[in-house]
Amino acid sequence: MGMEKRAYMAYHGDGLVDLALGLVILLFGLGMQYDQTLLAPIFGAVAYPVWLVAKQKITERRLGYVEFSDRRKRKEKRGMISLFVLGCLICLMGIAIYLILTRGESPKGILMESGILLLGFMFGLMISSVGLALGVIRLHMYSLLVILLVSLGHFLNWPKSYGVILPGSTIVICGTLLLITFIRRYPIADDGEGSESV
Amino acid sequence: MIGGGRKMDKDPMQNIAGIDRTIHSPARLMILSCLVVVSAADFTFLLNQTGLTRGNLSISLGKLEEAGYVNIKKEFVNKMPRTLIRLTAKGRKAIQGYRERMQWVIDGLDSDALK
Repeated sequence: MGMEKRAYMAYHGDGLVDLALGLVILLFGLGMQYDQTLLAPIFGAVAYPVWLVAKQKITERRLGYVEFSDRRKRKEKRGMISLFVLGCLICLMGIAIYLILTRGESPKGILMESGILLLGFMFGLMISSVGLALGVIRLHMYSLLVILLVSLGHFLNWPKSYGVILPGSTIVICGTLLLITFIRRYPIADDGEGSESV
Repeated sequence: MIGGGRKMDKDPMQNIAGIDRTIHSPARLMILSCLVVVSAADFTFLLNQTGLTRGNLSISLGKLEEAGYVNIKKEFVNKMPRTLIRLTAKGRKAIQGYRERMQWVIDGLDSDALK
């Protein structure tokens, strides 16, 4: 592994992105289970600012502050733009489906039958896009896990929410374990920043 | 001519003698290797990445700053002190020259004789 990749991976090895994504999926599943559909969108809306603050308070305080190269920043920016475009496409798709359904011309049966599969693919795409934007390979594994478990749940006739809760919980557990490892590996320096010694 | 500005000598021994001693110490080489791949980093980040002690990192950074290879800027962010360290153009050129010179020296080693 190159020096830059090593530094970058250490910066994203805190499990915070895993926790954020896992919680969105888990809350969505719990929302389906307990009919509280606003849980996931509300958390989804605050997830990014919360993640930024957590990055500053947990990661930078322990690992230190770093500005990555312009090449890396450009790559991240491209990834974020793709994520935004994907988000817009998903919204448009949602609006299109809503319009079709309300006109009564509907593939409603298909949607009711395979809606959970669509949802699984959407979550998978979302996680993979974040993985692509940040260059974190394990996120693609989560994406596969979501698609696999949602599909498995669909074909094995599990209650619909289980196929979402299960991968969401797995990702949250992985994120928590990564965070604990990170906190143990990088304890907070005794005298704050340590800059006085330079 | 090599990156550092010094001419490469035909005599391999002279090339070894010409190696930049400021960079050649493992601690300083670790610091520069980190800084060459990022735009800037603070003291804590370098501490974690290199595994050096605070004292060693501090002394090594001082020597690199003295040589003009790094720029150390102290600032306050949210009332917290932060020491931001950047590689200078001179430092980048020096590490490039060091790399080329070391490559030349390593390439000149007779691999058969090492077996």
